[in-house]
Amino acid sequence: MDKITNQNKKNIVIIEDDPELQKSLFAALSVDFNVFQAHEGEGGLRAVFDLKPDLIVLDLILPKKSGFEVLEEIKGKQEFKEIPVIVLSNLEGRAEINRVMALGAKAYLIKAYYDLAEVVKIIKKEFDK
Amino acid sequence: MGSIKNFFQQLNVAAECRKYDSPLLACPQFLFILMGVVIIASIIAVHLAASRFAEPEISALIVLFVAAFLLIVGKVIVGSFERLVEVSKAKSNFIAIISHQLREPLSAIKWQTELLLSGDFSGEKGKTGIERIGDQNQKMLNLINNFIIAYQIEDNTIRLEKKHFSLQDLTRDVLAKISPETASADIKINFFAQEGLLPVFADQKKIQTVVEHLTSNSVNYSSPGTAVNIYLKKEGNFIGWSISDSGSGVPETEAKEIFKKFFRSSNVFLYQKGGLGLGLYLAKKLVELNGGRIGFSSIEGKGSTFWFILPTSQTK
Repeated sequence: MDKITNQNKKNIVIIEDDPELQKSLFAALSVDFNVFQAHEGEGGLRAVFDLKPDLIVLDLILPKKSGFEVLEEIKGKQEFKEIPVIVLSNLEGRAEINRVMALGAKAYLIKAYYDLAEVVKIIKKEFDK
Repeated sequence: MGSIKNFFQQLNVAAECRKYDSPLLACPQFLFILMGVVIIASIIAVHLAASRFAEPEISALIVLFVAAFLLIVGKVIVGSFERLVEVSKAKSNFIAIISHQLREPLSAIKWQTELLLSGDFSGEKGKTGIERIGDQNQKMLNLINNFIIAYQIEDNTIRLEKKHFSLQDLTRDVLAKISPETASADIKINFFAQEGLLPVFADQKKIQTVVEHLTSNSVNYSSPGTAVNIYLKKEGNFIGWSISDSGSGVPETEAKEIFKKFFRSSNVFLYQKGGLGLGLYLAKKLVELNGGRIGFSSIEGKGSTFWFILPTSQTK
């Protein structure tokens, strides 16, 4: 996990199992934020509970614990349920999108349709609210 | 008992129709009920018509016969319709997974390109970026190649180019190729080969796919810091290849299904694992097409051993 943090920057936890997507997201987001990375669901959940970040970027298909379960557990805890979660996935089924939004995610972004710059913009906008 | 319970379950039309995600008129259970109503109406009509022209006993027999006939026909139609709906549902699940798996490497390429274009192309950073694009492209090609091989197997159009080659050299090549994967997973691979082994007679490229798949499977299911052992030895007129890990193992309930195409144990698994569910299916088919056999033994929570044997000379 990335230990270098800047007090003035917001903290983001990225839970993404694909190493390449993880690296690109890290490169794009670490300019403006303190980024912490997890590669599977259980580790991601631990990172969220330990760090209580300002925002979570969550993939859905994840080893050990799926993104759905991670989201459910975060939203089930009083202390963490207000943290905005942005789901980034390449699944595009109506059922999956509905399930994620019903669980209380802020946004459902399909990776294939978004440039990195757009993802960064959406996250920044979330903090401007 | 099971079938009675099943019957009553099927009577819960709303729930069953929701399960198939289909409109009422395309839902097998609703059609079954509708058919029942039509059958009852037809029986009453037949009864009224028959009782006008025939003795009561004959009339009753005609009605009974018509009822039984309609019921059987109805059951057969609804049954086959139900199977079709199930296949179609499985197909859309499959398409969802496929589009996800194919889009992941493409998204990585897209983002990596974006980063390269927005920054510094030259030097080590640029080189690493391009290498990553290359890796993702290869990953994408592998997915599509596996797909095509599965199709060719199904279609009986697969072409094998059999020749003699060393399974030992092939294994070493595969291990060198996947060493970044094993290093990042913190898995140590030990390779033990008996001395003086004869070459096998098979399609080298196809067997390479098998070895690659079985090896990365073991690596993926192992915990960091553990070791995976590969053994190569003579077994009569065959060479035996096996890989043992101390990973999560195969649950007993899934043992029968594991070599089936697109096997995924449950919905939970669906959202927790990448891949297409094609690897072990391809491994089995490719080994068998090359005159060998494949199998595994496993204890849940303790680990698994997957093995295959290939002939050393042309058989049949």
